[in-house]
Amino acid sequence: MHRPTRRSFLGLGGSALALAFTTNLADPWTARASAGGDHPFTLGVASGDPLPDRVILWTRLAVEPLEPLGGMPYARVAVQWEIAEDEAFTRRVRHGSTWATPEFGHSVHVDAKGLRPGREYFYRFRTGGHVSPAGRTKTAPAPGSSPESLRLAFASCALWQDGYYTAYRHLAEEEPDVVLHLGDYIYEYGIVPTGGNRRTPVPEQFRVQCDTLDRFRVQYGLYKSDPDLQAAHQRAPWIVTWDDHEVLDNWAGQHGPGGEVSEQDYLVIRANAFRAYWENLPIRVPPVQGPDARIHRRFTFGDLAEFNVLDTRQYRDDQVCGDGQQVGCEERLTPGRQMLGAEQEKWLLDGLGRSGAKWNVLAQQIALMQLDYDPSPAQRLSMDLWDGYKSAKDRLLTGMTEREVSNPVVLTGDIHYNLAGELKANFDDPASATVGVEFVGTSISSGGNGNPATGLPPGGSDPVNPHLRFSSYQRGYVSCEVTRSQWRADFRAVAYVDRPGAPVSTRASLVTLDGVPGLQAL
Amino acid sequence: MRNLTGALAVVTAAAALLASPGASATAQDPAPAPAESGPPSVPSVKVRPGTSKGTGELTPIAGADRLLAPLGVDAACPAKIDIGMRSDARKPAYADLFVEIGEPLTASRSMLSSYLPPGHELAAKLLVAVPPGTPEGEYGLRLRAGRKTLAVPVEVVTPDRLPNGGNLALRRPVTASSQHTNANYPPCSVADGDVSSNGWAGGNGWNDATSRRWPDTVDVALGGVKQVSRVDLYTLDTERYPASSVGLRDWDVQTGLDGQWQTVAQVRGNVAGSVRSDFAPVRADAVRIVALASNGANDYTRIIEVEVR
Repeated sequence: MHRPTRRSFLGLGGSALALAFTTNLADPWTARASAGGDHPFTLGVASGDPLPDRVILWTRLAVEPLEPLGGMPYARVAVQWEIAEDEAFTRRVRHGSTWATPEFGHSVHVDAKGLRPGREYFYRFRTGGHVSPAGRTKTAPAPGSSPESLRLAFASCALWQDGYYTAYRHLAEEEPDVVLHLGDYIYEYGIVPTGGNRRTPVPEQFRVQCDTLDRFRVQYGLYKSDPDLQAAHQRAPWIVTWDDHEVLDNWAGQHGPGGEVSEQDYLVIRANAFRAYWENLPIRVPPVQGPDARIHRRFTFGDLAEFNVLDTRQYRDDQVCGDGQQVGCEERLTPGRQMLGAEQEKWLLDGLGRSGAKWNVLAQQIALMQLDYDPSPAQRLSMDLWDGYKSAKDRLLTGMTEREVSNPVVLTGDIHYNLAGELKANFDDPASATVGVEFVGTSISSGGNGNPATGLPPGGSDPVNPHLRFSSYQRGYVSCEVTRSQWRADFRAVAYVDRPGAPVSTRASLVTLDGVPGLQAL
Repeated sequence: MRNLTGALAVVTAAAALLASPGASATAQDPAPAPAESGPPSVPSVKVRPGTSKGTGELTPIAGADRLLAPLGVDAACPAKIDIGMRSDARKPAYADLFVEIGEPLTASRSMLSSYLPPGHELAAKLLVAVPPGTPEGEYGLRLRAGRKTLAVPVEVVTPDRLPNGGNLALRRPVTASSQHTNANYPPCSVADGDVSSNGWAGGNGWNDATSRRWPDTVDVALGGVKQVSRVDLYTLDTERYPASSVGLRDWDVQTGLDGQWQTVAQVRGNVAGSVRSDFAPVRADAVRIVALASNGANDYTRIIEVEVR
């Protein structure tokens, strides 16, 4: 996966880039003193939601990232932006000015339009004489075009105190066409002052769990201060969705955690969580104004691939049988239970039915394939996963079959485990039809170092979950090369996360062929 | 070759801080990270609905007229007060409250921002730290929202002068055999005057670090020789984490005098959230809880508060 890249240049960070600008006389934005003490671009830059003609450009001003307003004045600040075809910014194609306002945590979301499809761009911001690092992004291919290939990576679950984001760094170095983030980008948990596995001190105010907007903002400030995460944003456009920990552990629809947290408390927390999420990610949805925010959306990459980005949290019915892993929970079978909510489910199936794409992707959070956790004949299933919403799962799988959806591929996060499996018409009958494949990507850091000795070797067979083709309990991400004939997934694993600098290697490579649902190990 | 279930089972069991049955919240993800990071803690924000006057005003509010901030206590257990605001707007909005505190005291937040529906009151915790050497006396805490400012005096006092309602352990130094560090479980929280299980893992209770190893001990120094005849122990007990699943089951109450310890009461088979132990009056300069077993997975000691009378 290693190609000669501009990594050596981009990898130097903001101040070195500013120096590079000053040597370029054609550069209209020659910076002065960008490495000064009040540098407002401490949270990096990002791009996201690429369309054929536009992409979201993001930054958030913060001179003190761990302060609620990032150490910025309670006033709006003018920010200039530009996007160019070259990283020296000599062929600038669009530029403009916008406001970073305290109401939105001094975040900036620019929808840079008028771009050409399927090509690389470079962007940066400027405010008050400070120039941001330059980011690399890429637009989606033209509508109706027939791209030969697409390189993507997907990731999830990055609990800060569990370890370093080395996996994000390796992901960045691949410079994929697009990165899909499937949730648990942050965790709402409090952080002890000793900083957990990172052994990096954090201020006392991080002890308490996220609930108010100011607290969520400093949590994002901490997470987004990480240089490896910044690199991953800086080198590819991201398409993001949330899972549970952007709000509260295992929240479900209108249902909070219960106990002392009333529904009113929960909806206020959710409104704060959603707002902070919007502020901190390069996403093309209207600014969040309360506890309801639609983020499910669709991206089309010519006729090669279409991505349905799902929200499996906001509209679901509550977990049954007390949540957790359960044996013999009949309620999980109740007809009519919702995982996506009726509106999103219809939107998804209608879209899949209309799609002209070769690969039809569900970018979502929780395992769709059946996962039986009990080695004995008893079935022990997780009530939080699609298994706990059996009727919704059946409607989805049957709906895809009825619509003869071309090559369904499900991308999943949530469980901190690498898994590759085949989606079966009936998971209890190994002889039933295979209707698609699922790749579950492990966590970036959540869970700590992991254990390379566990799991199912690629191509192996698991007697309890016969549809499974691979598993491993390590940290990392998944890198995919999508062509017209096959989808190849490389499960990339880092050796450790409790200290920086771990090497990365490919634990397994699995392939699914166009028109042949199923998985083969390479 | 190991199958998936074997691998998952090993990892999950090894990592569960709260094991089943109380662990449904942590075991529901097959992955161990949420468990390793502690059980989901409880957010501190509380919302109370009401009727908006429609004036558009924001009003700062506080949970008390004044705050007593003890001097010389562990920084992990600062003084706490609820602060927040009420909205008399017509529409929901994100609102900001600004916090100013007199030096050298420090506050856990400089502002509080939150979504706030009209007519609603919202409160969240403000932690006030008193640096060592702070002179006793009154300090200012100002809460500003919209055009209104609320002043809440903060009185810095030594624990000797703290009204303790007869609880000799209140705000006294606490030491424990170990402390779990993946969330916030400071030993001093067992003498912070808060007996509710709200905010578990967020600083309102002690969880030891030695899973399935017993005994665990937590000592409270009483600040001098006192006559003692009663100890109340509060263990973790919420709807989601009932004492019968995760609370302390067996323990000895010991009193100490000049480093000599004697057992004055024993509790066995407890499933309740709090237990009162009475014993013949004894002179003591310290009280120790010797934790011997917990319910459910029998994994950890979880104590919310220890009161001594």
